[in-house]
Amino acid sequence: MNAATLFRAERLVKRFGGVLAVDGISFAVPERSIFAVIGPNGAGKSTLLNLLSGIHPPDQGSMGFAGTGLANLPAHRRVRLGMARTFQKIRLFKQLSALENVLAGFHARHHVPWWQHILPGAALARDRACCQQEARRLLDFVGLAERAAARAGALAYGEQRMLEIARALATGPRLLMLDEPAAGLNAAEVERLIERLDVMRRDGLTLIVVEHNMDLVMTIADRVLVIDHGQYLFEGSPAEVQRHAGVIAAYLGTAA
Amino acid sequence: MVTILLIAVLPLLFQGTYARSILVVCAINVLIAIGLDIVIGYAGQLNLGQSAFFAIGAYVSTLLVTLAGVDFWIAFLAGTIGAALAGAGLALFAVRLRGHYLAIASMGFAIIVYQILMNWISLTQGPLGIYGIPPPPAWRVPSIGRIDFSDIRNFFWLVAAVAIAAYLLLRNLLRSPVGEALIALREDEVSAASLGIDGARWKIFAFAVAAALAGMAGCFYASFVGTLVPDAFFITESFTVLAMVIVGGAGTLLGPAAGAVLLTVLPELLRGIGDARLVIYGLALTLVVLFMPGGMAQAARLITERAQHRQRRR
Repeated sequence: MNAATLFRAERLVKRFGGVLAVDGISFAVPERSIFAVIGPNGAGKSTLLNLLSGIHPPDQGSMGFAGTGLANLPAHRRVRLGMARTFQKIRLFKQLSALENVLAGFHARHHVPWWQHILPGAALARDRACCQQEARRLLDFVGLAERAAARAGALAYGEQRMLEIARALATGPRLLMLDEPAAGLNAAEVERLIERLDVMRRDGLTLIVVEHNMDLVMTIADRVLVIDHGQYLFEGSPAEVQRHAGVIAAYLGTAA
Repeated sequence: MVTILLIAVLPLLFQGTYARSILVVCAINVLIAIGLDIVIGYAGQLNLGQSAFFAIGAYVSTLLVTLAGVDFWIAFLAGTIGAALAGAGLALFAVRLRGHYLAIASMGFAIIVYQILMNWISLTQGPLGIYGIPPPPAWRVPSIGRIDFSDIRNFFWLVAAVAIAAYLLLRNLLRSPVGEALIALREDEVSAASLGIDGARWKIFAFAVAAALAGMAGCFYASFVGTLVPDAFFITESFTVLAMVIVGGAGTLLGPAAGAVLLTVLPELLRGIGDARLVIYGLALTLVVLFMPGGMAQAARLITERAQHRQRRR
C-alpha cells in the first residue's frame, strides 16, 4: 500500500470542559482506501469525525487534505475541497422529498451566472437538467430510484441512511466520511451497504468509516484505527486488529 | 396574466379616495410581507426588525428629497440600498443567534431605530413629524401623456407594478439553487454546512433582500402619505407584518402576499370597533398557529384537494 495520502491528522486534541474527548490522535488515510475507526461507545469517534469535517475546531493538532493544510477551515469550505460526510444521528431535510435532499447537495457545484437566479435563462435550465439527472443517478446508486418523490422523513430508517449517503455524494467528494452508516440496518441492508462502499472505493473514492458493526469493518476496511477514551489504541489491517489483545479487552471488558 | 389584469382594474372598480388609498397600502404591505417571507418562511430565521427597515427606507428617501432636493427615484434607490445595508449589518451581528435570541436582537434593533427617529429631532423632527412630502414627480410618456402620481390610481399602478415585479423575481430566486440553499438552512443548519452551504452568508443575504423590499415600501409609503411620524414605525408594525406572513402561510411567497391584503383590508372594514381591531391580528395569528400552521396557503391547498377528491368520486 504505497498509494498517496489523501487525508492526514496530526495529534488532534479536543476537550469538552474537563473531558478529553480526543486525545492526541494521528493517522493517515491513503487515497482510494477504506479507513475504519472503531472503539467502544464514548470513545470519541463521533467527536473525531466532527473535527475532521470542521464542525468543531480542534484545540490542538493539525489536519491536511490532498496536500493542503486545513487549519480551522469551517465545514462548508471543506466541502468545496472535496470532503463530505454523513451523520450518526440522521440529519436529512425531513420535510423535503428524497430528490430535493440530493439536489441540495449540489450547492457548491452550480455553474449559473448570478442574474439567472432571478431571470432564468439557458444556463440555469441546463444546470437544473444536469443536477436532476445526476441526482436520480445517485438515488438509483443507493437503491432509492423508486422513492425519489417520497418525503425524506417518511422513508424507512435504512432508506434514510442510504439517502444521506446519496446527498453527501452529490457534493462531488474525493473523501467521504460516514458516521456509523450501518447503525440500525438489518443484515440484508448491511450486505448491500458493504457492496455499495466497495463500488465507491473502486470508483476512486476514499472513505473514512466510523463504525460499530464489526462484520462491516472486517469485511471491507483496508486499515482500522482503534481508539478508546479518546486515545490511540492500535492501528493495522482488519486481521491484525482481530488478533490484538488490547482491542478485545476494550470491546469485551478486561476479562480477556 | 389574469391576476395582473385583475389587479390593474382594481382602482377603477373602487371609486372613493379612501378605498383607493387602502389599495395602495395593500400593495405597500405586500412588498414588506413577501420580503419578510424570505427570512422567516425560507431561511427560517425569526426577524422582528422589519418595521425598522421600513422606517429606514421611508426616512432616508424623504430626507434626501426634502432636505437635499434629490430626485425621487435616486432617493428611492438610496432608501432601498440603505435599508438593505442595515439588514445586512444587523444579520452580520446576529448570524450566530437563532430562535428567540435572534427575535430579541432584531426587535432590539427595531426599538433602537424607533428611538433614533423620536429623539434625533434636528434631523427627523421627532414626534412632530415631517410634513408635505411630495409624491414622485410626474412622468411624461410619449403618446400617453403626463402620468401624475398625485392621482391615487397612478400611484397604485406604480406600487402594484413594483410589487408584482418584486414578487415574480423573488419567486424565480426562491426556485433557483439560492432558494434550495435557504430552505436547507431552515431545515437543518449543520446539515446544510455539510453540503457546502455557508449559513452566515445566506442569512445575511436573506436579511438584506427582506430589508431592501421593506425599504422600497418605506419610500413609497412616505411619498404616498406625505407625512412621516415615528409612530408609524413602532415595533407593533413588525408584528403586523409577521401576522401577515404567518396568516398567509410562511414559505409560500404567494400566501404572505394574500395575508398582507387580508390583514390590510379586514381591519379597515372593521374600523368601527376602534383599537379593538388590533385584537384581530392577535386572534388571527393565534387561530392560524393553532389550527392551520400553513396559513391561508395550506387552507387553499386543502380546499382544492378536497374539491378534486369530490370530483373523482362522481
